[in-house]
Amino acid sequence: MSEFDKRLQDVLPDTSDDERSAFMSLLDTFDAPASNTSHKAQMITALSAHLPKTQTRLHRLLAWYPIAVLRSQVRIIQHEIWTASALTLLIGVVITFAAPNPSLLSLSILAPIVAAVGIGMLYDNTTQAMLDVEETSRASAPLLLLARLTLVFGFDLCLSLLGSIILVIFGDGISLSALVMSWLAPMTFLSGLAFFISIFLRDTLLASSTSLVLWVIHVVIQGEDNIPELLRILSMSALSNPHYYPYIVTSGLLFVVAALWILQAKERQVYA
Amino acid sequence: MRSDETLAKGIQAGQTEAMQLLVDRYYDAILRYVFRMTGGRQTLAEDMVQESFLKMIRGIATYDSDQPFRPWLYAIATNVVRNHYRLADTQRTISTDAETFDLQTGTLSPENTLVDTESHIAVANALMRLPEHQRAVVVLYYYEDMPQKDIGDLLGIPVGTVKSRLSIGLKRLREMLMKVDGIS
Repeated sequence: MSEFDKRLQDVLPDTSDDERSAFMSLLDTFDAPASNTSHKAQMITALSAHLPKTQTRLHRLLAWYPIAVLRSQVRIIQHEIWTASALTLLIGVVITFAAPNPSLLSLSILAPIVAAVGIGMLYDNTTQAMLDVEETSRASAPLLLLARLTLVFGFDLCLSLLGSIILVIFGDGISLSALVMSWLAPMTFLSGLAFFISIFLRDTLLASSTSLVLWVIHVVIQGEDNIPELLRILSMSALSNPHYYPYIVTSGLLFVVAALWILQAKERQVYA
Repeated sequence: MRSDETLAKGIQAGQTEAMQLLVDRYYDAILRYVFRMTGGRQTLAEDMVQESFLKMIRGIATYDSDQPFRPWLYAIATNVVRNHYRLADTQRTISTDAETFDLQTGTLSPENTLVDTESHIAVANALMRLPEHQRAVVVLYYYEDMPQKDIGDLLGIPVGTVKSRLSIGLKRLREMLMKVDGIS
């Protein structure tokens, strides 16, 4: 008894072996047609036109959600931020070459404030393009804002790093790590502060100018002895003290986290 | 040899070669299945095969390569057959005589006896008299040698339902053929 006959016996238990055998013989007369090779070939040609477009690794990478969110935000950010940041940092590098005093490097002064001013302008509720994307995208407003922050901070970070490397290569006796930390810590802090104020007070101008004023006070007063106590506090001398760099960077990151939390809470309030 | 699932992933990436290999691998099987599901009408079966593969390519983005490909493709072909009869409402108007069977496209050689030809037509017509849900189970189980679990997966029904449809379908088929052929 064949395997199939056994299975058929389970399905038709009330039939004899001969009956099943006759039944199977009858079913087997219903032959299938032979393969039509010309139809198959024509079909393959026709189907080729409907194949999904070949995706390269680059296509797949660009379609990856985090990258797609970042790309969507590139066109939202005001173009002036890119140009102004690049130009200012270029000027910083050029001036640093001519600076007689290596302790007062123009790049270290300019990089933090360029980033802070740019980031302070990211949460601009009056810009229609930003509102449109936030309303129509499935991504939340905090996520879109974080994407813009990443883009602008990343852009300034890369430019500043490039400038620092150029200065180290062509400069005289400048340490790369010391140079990078001299602008990275205050850059993180001032950017985080500007980001926080722009969301908390919903005022991009105030956010950018607060960071700018604090940094100017810090740079001008640095090293001065005879100054009022209020100005000394406002100058935040720790911003240029390598000993406090880890705390300064952490503070900057905490400002960002707090700002995003506030934005999330505001969004929940709106939808409630 | 590349597995069906690997080739399906290749189609998802737009590879023509993967599509050719997979169509080559399954063309005959799907044609056989659809041919029997349509009562032996080869021209219609070929159209349905083409439609099945077209639907497979259009829906390839939804295919999960962790799942077996074969039942997925058969499920598409089953839906194509089902939709054809549903849309055309031809189920009620199927002819009960030999007109429904495309004799010239069958594999019967000139040496086949008249009895064999009559049996062939009788089985085709008896199958067409079964409701579509029973016919699909019988064809997949008997002619395509597909396990009951796979049939259940592709038709979206429990194995118990497959067994009952198979039992009822084969009994009805046998009864119909008994009248024609005198099996008893």
